[in-house]
Amino acid sequence: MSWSDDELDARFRELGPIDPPARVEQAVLTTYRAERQRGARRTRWWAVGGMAAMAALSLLVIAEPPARGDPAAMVERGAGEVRPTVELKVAVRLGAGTTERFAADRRYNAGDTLMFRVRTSAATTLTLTRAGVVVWSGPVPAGESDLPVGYQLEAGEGPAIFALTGGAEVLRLPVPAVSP
Amino acid sequence: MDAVRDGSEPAYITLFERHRAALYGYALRMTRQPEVADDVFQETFLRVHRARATWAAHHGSFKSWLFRICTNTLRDRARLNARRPEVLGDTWEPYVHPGHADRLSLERALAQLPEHLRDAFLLAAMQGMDHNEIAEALDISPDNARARVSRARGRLRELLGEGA
Repeated sequence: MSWSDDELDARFRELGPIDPPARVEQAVLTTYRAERQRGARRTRWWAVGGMAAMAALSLLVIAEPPARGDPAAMVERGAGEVRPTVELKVAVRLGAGTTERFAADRRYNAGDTLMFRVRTSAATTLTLTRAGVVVWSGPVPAGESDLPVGYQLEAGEGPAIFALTGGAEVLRLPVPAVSP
Repeated sequence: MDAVRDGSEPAYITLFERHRAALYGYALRMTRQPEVADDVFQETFLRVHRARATWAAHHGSFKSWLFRICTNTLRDRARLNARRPEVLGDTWEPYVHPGHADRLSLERALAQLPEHLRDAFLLAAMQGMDHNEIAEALDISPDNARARVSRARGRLRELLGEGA
């Protein structure tokens, strides 16, 4: 049996859109507002620019360039930290049913499952990828929580890197090849 | 969009809210790197604001105009980063997660499509665009858009194990 075009499209449509991280949305709106304010100032300038230029010329006044601020005297403002810190812990549920901490120098077996626990300094949106493909993306609360996704290793898998983004830095987890 | 062109912030926010998830999903599935998708997403909406005066000259839908801006942003970025920034792996093994296995197999199949087929298919299947809108968004001819979508569907059927 093969899918019609509409059926195939519908299957992929179920994947749905993906919410951008909150910090990215905030950055868009902040940048937009800053651009808009600069544009408004430019507009006001052009509205009065002609008159001001004529007045300046008539008085033959050459204004001094605006004074530059002293970088040493500038005061830091704002919250500073814009991305939360994120810690990642990885456990492995072995085929036998026991669970232990992930070890980067160990080769695991087919059927073993990686599980991910994160601790964040603030609520945020995290994205977990494996080999560049999104495995999971969603919001997590501040504090410690388990990601609602597990990755079951399969026979013959080569080494790959899991990456967790959304925090102050990208956390990378190299996973060795699965034991043959 | 007319209100956005006139500088209305509420109108801009309404447009942003309406299209944010669709555009981010597109950027993420095209770039396959969240950090890059973040930048493309931000740059696209900034360009929407900067280019709002050109909207009147566009004869298609707002969605095709928006995705055209995103496409141009992706292309500009690709030109700047001619080399792949990081190859995380070229082997694609299946993900297994109860209730998500099917979803992940679809994402994996999408990731295996060449970019010039993936973008056309995403616009057709996920955004519901017709061939003319896809052509506008990707700056290609409608016939080319139709061919790309058709080839993408054929490739996806192969990848998902369905005979055409």
